[in-house]
Amino acid sequence: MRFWCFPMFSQQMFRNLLNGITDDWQIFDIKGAAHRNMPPAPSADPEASTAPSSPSAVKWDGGFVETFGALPKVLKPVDHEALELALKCDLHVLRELGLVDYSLLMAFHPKANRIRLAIIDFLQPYTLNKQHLCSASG
Amino acid sequence: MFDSMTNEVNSARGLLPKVIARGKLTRRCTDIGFAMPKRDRARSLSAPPKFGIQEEQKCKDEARSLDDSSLESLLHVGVPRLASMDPRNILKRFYASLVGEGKNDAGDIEQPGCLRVISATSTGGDPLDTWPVLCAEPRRLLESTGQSETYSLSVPCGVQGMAIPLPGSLAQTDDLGAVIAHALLSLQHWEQLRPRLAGHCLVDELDDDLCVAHCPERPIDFASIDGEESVIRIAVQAPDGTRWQVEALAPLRFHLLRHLAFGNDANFCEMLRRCRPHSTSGGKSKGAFWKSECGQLMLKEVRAAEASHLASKAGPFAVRLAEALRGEPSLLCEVFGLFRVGRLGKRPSTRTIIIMRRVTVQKWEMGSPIYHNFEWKNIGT
Repeated sequence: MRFWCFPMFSQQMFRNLLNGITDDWQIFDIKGAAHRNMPPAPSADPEASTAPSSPSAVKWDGGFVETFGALPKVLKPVDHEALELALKCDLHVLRELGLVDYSLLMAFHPKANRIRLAIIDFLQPYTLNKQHLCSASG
Repeated sequence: MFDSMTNEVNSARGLLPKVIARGKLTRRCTDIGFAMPKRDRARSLSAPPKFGIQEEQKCKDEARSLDDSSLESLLHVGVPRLASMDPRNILKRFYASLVGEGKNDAGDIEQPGCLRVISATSTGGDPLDTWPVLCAEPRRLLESTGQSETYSLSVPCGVQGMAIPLPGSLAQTDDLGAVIAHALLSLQHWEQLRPRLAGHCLVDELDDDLCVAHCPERPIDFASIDGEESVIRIAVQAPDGTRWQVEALAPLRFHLLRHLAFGNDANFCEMLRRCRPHSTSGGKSKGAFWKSECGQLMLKEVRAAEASHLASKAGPFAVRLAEALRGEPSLLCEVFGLFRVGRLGKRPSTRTIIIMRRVTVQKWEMGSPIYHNFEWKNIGT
C-alpha cells in the first residue's frame, strides 16, 4: 500500500463530506507520507476559503504529526479490533482492484474524545503515469 | 386543345409560339404564387450576416420548405382546406410528439391504465394501492394523501407509473441528478434491466411483481453475478428540448446495492431528483460536484479511466460494499451508481458521474458502517 500521491479532494470537498461536523472537529487527509506538510490549495471561492489555521481546515500528514505531537492515540480494544478488521478487508478489496491511491480521512474531536475514519478517493487506478508522477513528487 | 389555345394566345400577343406541358405550367404557376422570393440587393461577401448565420440559414430553410406541396405532405390536407381548419388542430399535427396528441387526436388519446404501486410508507391496511399512470409526483402524493388523482405530466411515465419530472430549463440548471433519477425510473431502463434481475430481485423473468420493494427474506448474492455487465443506455428528452443519453455502468450490481441501502430505486430517486451544482476548487481532479437537496447524496464527476476501471472490476467492490451495508465494519465510502451522462445536440458533452453517500452526522448517528466513531484515551492523561 502506497500512501504518497497527490490529493484529489479540496478542502471544500472534505467539508462537504463531513457536513454537520462542527468546527470543533479537526480533519486530516492522511496518505502515510511524512513529507506531505503542505495543506491543500486554498479555495478560490470566498465561501469555501478557510484559513489553514482555522479549526475546520483540512490538514495533511505533517499537520497530523504536529497536532498529536507524534504520539499515538490509543483505542479501546473493541474499537481497535473493529478498525483492524475493517482495514484488513477494505485494503484486501482495494488491492484486488489494483487501487493503491487513496486517502484516509480522519475527523478528530478533542473535547468529545471521538475519532471518525473513512477511506475516500480510491477510484483512480495506479497507472504508469501515476507512478511516474508520484516518483517525481517523492 | 389546350396546346392549340396557348399557341393562339401567344401568337396574338406577338410572342413566339412555345409548347408547355400542362403539368409543368401548373408547377411553374405554383412556384410563382407561393415561393417567389423578393430579391434583395446582393450583399458583399465580407459583410456581416444580417441576423446571424444560424438565423439566416433558418430563414432560408423556412423559405424553402413553405410551399404547398410540403404543407400537404406534412398535414395530409389539401392547401385549400387549411384556411377553414382550426389553427389549434394544425399546431397539434405539427407538435404531435411533444404534446402527446397527433393525427388521431380527436378524442382518440389513449387513456392511461392503472398499475399496482407499493406504498413504502403506508400504515396499516392493504399496502397495494391503485395509482393512475398519469400523475406528476405519484410517490409523494401517494404517501401524503393516499388518494388517486390524475395530473398532467410533461415527461414519459416510468416503471410502475412513477416518473421523475425534469426541470423546465435543464440546460441551465445542469441538474444531472434529475436526469439520472428520471432515467432510472424510465421504462426504457426497466425493460433492459428486468431480464438481469431474475434470481436476484425477481424470481424469474416472467415474475409480475416489480422489484420496487426488496424482500429481506430473499438475500442478494452479489458473488453469483459473473463477469462485466453490459451498459444500459437510456434516452431522455427534456422539456426544454434538449436530448440526453444516460448510460448506467454495472447496472445490476449498483441496483442491488441500492436495494440494500435504500430499499428500492424509488426511494433513491426521490433523494436524487433534485441536485444543485456544488462549487469546489483546489482539488487536483477539477471535477464538478453536485449535492442532493436532501443532503444525503453527493455526485462527483470522475475521469473516464476511473469509471472504466471501476466498471470492469465492480464485482469485488460490490461484494465488499454489500457486506458493509449488512453491518460489517468498513471504512470505504459508499458508491451507489456509476453513470455516463451525455448531452446530445449541437454541443455534445459527456460527463462520468459517481453517486456516493454524503457523510452526515445523522447518518453516523444511525450507526453507519462507513465511519466508526472510536473512543480513545490519550497517553499520559
